[in-house]
Amino acid sequence: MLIGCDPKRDSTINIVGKQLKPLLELIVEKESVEFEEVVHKGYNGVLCVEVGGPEPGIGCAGRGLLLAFKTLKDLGVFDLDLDLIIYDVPGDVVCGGFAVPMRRGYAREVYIVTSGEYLSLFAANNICKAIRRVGAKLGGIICNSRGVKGEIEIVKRFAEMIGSRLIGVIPRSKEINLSELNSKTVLEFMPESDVANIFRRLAEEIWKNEKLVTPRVLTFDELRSINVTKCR
Amino acid sequence: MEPYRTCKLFGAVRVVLGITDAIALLHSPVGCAYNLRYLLTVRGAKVNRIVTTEMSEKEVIFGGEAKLRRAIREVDKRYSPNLIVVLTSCASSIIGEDVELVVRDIRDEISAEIIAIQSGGFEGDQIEGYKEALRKIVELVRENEKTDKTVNLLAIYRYGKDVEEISRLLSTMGIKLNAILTAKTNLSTIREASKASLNVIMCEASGFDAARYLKERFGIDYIDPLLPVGISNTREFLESIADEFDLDISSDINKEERIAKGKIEKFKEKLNGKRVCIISGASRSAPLVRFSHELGMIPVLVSIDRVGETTLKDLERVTNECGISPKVLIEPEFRDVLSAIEDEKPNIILGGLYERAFTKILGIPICDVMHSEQLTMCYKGAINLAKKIAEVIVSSK
Repeated sequence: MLIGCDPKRDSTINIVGKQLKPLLELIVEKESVEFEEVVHKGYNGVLCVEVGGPEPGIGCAGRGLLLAFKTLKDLGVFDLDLDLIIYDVPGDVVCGGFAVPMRRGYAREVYIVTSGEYLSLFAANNICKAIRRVGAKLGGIICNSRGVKGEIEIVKRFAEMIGSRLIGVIPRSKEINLSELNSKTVLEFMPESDVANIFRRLAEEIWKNEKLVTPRVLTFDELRSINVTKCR
Repeated sequence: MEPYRTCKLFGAVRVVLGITDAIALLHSPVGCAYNLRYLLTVRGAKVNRIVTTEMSEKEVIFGGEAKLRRAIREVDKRYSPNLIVVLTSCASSIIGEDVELVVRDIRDEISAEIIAIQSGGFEGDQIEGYKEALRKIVELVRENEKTDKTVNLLAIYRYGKDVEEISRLLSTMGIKLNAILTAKTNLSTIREASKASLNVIMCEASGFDAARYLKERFGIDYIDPLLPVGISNTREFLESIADEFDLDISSDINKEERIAKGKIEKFKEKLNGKRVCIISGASRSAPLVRFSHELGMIPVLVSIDRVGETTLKDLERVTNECGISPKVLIEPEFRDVLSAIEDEKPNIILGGLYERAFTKILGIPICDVMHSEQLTMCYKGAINLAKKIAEVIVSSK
């Protein structure tokens, strides 16, 4: 199951092929929500939930996540017999609400997706702070390539410095863009492509991963040092 | 952990309640409005002008601007107030609700004047609420011709016999009360506050900001005398106002003072040497110490829930003048006050409704000098208070 926790409500589009009506919107409109309205089956039997949130610039998305998780619990979503639940959380853990999926009882492992760009690593380092705070475990870093020079090396160094490892590299690829434009995942749209195989390998790595750590948080200067090396 | 003060919203609401044609619209969950209505009812206020947008979790998550707009229109239609004051609560302040924007947008659509005040509970204590709300309210004052020998009372939030008595005594010297900000006032009186040539600050903890603004904008001078509680405080209070107009204290006042002094004498016998604890806010602490001393009592403890700009200076002046050195608690916790009272073993506590707890716990009698409907100020108030204190002490034996 994939639970999209970004107020942008774009996590599950490529699996179900359309934008789902978010859970929080349903809660606002109705007294009570039904399981079938919230949980949707997508490609290859993957169950999808899109949490949603307020319009940009108003309300409190963090509080929304708290309410959404309570509702999912009440609906029995966490009692389902599932292989795996993926919580897709925005990269900026801006307040307590966004750390909810990482708290005890929800995600057991956290994977951070980052590029080799300085500000992306900066955000990743911030997530490490939240992981430490809530007592979650980091499973690894996934490099989502932006085409920065020496990018894989940079992300790898970052992963090692925080005491974790680089668990996969997603290349910059036309296939991904093309699949997205067709509202499908690469595995559905171009199952024979190299990129599809890369995702399969990444899934395999995560599935059998046992190296879970409490990450170290880098200082400002340490983060900078990764960047400086890159520029040389 | 055991607070002796409350939140910013409390003070802001009280400022609005003092304006009889205004509605305090709390952008809040129901509890803020209910609790304030309950508490202020117990303290003797009329609370039906405190209303709420009834924020729920939905508004917290998605924003409550639409609900606020609906509530403003509803208030405008249902109550036809001259002024609507939108007050934020903890909930709306935390999510950063843009109440100023809503107020700006809706202004032309409704009949009432409308303003917004940021009053989230965590933003400050009640004094911050009084201070900021009063400062906002005086921005409504318009340019007016000055009227001769006219004063405003500034930063007083309870109308009653005390205000009427001050007004009566001032009138014996030909001085007229203009606006009372904010107690039993209204929007048109507020707009005409600039007719006065003097602001008399009645609460130094919350009144200075508004006074400075009115001085700068309309050239109104201000003074901050001690509250007229007891004989010498009343004298000083009236003199400080008379001085501003180069007037002498009227013979009526002199006569009343002589009579009051005489009447108080008989209570002094019962009060002489009695140990008293004074538990109050900023503006009443020094006046009550001086009055207690005047009655022959010994102030052994002064506890001030929140000090203002001149509170401690005033207290020092008064204690020096009286040659006494009571224990002073500044912004204490409840338990600190409790144990200090236990140590000092007073005969009586002068305080308000909150201090009833000490009578319950320690059995020491209390005289409510804050929240009663009775006269407590000026000469007649002095007689009244002396009588009341004596009764409490005698009946507790």
